[in-house]
Amino acid sequence: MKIRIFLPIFITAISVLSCTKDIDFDLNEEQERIVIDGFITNVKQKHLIKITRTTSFFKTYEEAPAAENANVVLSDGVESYLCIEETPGNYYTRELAFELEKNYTLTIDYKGKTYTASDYMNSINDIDSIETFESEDLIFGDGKMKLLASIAVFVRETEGIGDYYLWKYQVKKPDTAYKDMTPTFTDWIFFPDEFVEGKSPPDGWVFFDRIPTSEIVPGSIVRLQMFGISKGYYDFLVGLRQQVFRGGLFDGPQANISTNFDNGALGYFVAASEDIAFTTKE
Amino acid sequence: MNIELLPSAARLNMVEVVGEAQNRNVEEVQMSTIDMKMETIKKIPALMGEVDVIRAIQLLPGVQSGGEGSTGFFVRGGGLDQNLILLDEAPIYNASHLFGIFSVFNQDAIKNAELYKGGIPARYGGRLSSVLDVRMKEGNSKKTKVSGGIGLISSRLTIEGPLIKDKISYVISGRRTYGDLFLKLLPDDNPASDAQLFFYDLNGKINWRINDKNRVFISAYTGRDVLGAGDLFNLGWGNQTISARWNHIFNDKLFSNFTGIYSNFNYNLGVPSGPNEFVWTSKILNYSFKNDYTYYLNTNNTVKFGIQSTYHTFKPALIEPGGENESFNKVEYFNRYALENGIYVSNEQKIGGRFTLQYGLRLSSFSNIGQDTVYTYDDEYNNTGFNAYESGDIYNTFANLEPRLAAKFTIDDNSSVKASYNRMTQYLHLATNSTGGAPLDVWMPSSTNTAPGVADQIALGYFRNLSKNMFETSVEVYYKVLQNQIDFADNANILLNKQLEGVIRQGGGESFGAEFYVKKQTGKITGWVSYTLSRATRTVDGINNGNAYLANYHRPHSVSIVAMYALNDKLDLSATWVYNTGTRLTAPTGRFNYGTELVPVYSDRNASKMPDYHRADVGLNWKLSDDDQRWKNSLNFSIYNVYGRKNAFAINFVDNEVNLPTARMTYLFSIIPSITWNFEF
Repeated sequence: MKIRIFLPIFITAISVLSCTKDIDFDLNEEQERIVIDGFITNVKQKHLIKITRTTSFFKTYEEAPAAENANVVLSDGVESYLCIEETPGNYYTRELAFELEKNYTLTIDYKGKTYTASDYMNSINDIDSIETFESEDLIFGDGKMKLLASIAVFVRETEGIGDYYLWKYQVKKPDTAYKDMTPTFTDWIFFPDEFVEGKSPPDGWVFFDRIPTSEIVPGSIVRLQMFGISKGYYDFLVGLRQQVFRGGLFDGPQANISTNFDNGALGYFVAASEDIAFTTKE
Repeated sequence: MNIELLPSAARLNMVEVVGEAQNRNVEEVQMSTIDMKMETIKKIPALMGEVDVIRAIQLLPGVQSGGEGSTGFFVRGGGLDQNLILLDEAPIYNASHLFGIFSVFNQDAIKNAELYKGGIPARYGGRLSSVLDVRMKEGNSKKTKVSGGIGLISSRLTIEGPLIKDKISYVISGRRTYGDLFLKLLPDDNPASDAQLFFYDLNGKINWRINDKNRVFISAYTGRDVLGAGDLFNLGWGNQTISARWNHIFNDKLFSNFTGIYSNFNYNLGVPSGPNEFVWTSKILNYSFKNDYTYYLNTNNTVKFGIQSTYHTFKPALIEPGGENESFNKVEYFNRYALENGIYVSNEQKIGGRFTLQYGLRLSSFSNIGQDTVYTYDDEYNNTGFNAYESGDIYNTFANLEPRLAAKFTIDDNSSVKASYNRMTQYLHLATNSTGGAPLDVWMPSSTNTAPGVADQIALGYFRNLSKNMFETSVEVYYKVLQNQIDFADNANILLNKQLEGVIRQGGGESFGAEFYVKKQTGKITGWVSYTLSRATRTVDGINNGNAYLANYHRPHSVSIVAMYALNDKLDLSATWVYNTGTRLTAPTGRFNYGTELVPVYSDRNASKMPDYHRADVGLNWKLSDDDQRWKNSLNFSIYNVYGRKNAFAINFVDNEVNLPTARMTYLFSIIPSITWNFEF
């Protein structure tokens, strides 16, 4: 649905009637909190737990201040994995693949306080295949039809509601390195299985991302990562998206995004299954 | 002897005919009630010259405005949707024009408005916090009269008179704004230059006095806002109501009213042409029947009883593509149907000379009726499937007993104490984010997923009149407990959400306060001063970590001063001043980085507040003709916000032109002078 279109309507209507003025507003700037962005998967690699600190609302920083010298430990209940701070605030595991269908707990000791969070690494079906195709469509803005490149992904969806998907992808044009097409979470594609529940190829479900055709030329390799995430992380992403796209009259009340950390830490610890598929554009 | 008598003119004091006892506020058992006559309302300085019933009641103790320029109102800590707004008994679901800047009540069509804030009688039901009972004029049964006015933004015309003298009278009244005509003056490249922006109201009523025992009236209202910008978009909303009442007197003890009511609130928006053409319509429809009786048992007992039945239809969204737009199919979001019933009985009993009791009971019920698809949720609000119901299936019923009590003890002719208790039930919830009157609200029925709201309120008051009723004073305190109040889960998706019930959270609320009111009723200077001290909180699981938070419209201090001064026979001056503690707001307390995005960290819900609100208005009414002339006309000047206070309508935290975060206040009105010419013949 073209929901976005309604927002300009109201912004127009209200702006006809109103004026704005920037004011001094005293914020109860609270004590600094720590922000944890931890992401582990079943793909063999060094997994990153990034820990930063909150900043004043009215100041801008190029980079968030790092939380250094924390003690960071991952555990699956049986085995523990110590994370090493390689650069300020970036804590890595050794190279390993975490096992699916396990509950993982992240424990962080920082300046005398302990923060913990748990997430379950849900296993979902692997990608059957992916392909690219072109389609003509209307992009909101100038009202003109454009030729776009799309990616279709075929996956068998398990019956029963409760799976949540997150997709990111990279494209390698001939003679160049991989370019991350989804560098920030605003580019990520995430959704629940409720609309595709139990469907399978060939008439199964497909995912489209529509980008200019110049981004995928003949010979380009598309690398797609599909993550099976928990409902908690899905809700976190929905909350983030709402925070970033605020400004319409339909916004809900401001509220902090949910977190799975205790003790006032922000961010999310994610344990996700990951599957990677490739296709080459002919 | 011849005595020559000299003629001498003696001037008699003006005789004032007063329709009700001047110590009514002391005498009546009913408390927490204010009756506003249109004549009084017309004297209050008006925004853009548009005299407004709801703006006037916002000046009363215990009533909070929805914010700058809003005709939404909050009574004793209750929500925007907790006011039963009746126009000749027909419910008005959205009483706002122009995003709440004006209300739907045209000054020329309205006779009076009565607001019940507490001790609500058993004959009213369906809303938790108040009843605003607005009555239309009956029409002059003696002679034809035309009246009207030309103002800066609107014109009005009313014709009333007898169809058959003393038997059938009519009144028809219209109002239309023409603010959009000014937009045409803007340069062509300004997108607002081809904008449409107007509203109109049309009221009509016919009164037929069949004989001494039978009277019938039919009253109808239609009004609409129209907003548009060329091919880009259009938006419209409005109410239509019809009520027909037969008043029958069985004998000198038993009176009855049979009333049929139709009410329809709807809005539409869309893109009128081009490749994105579509139209979205939404409506809420009511058919209602009421039968009310008053039985004068004896001099000490007046019994009232009756029934009411309402069939509700909710059609939240029908979205149809138009023209060449084939990008989506017609979508209809779940329509809902429900039957709401009420039966009540109450008695007002005088015990001895000093004590009066009013006790009543209302039994209300609400049934959800198919055809319907209802999603089911587990304890954590995860969708677990749905139930489908056939057309006509009654699949869920609520019933509630609502006791109502009021007592008055007369201390002496000039003073009394009163107490009241009422329980109210509300089966309809308004899903809205805005505190104003944004038209895109969704009314939704209680169902298997959302329980009906319940309010219990106790109030105590002391009423005293001074100087032969020249001054009316009162102090009232109240305490109200609300159950099953709706709010949305944090970061919920509200627009076009089929599973809206899954993001609704219900919880309790509490409010209490004290209201002080002094009114000067007679003399050259009349008016009132009111002060309200209050607190309103909500506690909802899943919101603000389950901790109590202040309601959006929690305003601990609220002051209104209204003064009217009759300078001479021709000139009336008026002035008002209002002060409110600022609206509550959730403000950021810091930020964090997530990837490359900056994400705000917020305080607890509504932990900050906007700057305090205050404003003064002045008005001058200048009669250009004498009272005994048939052709009367007058000029009304008013200045809204005399000292140009920039009151916040909203505060947003945004990035400014150089990408630095800043607090940006939106305000609507600075000084607004206006002039209106009124006539009557």
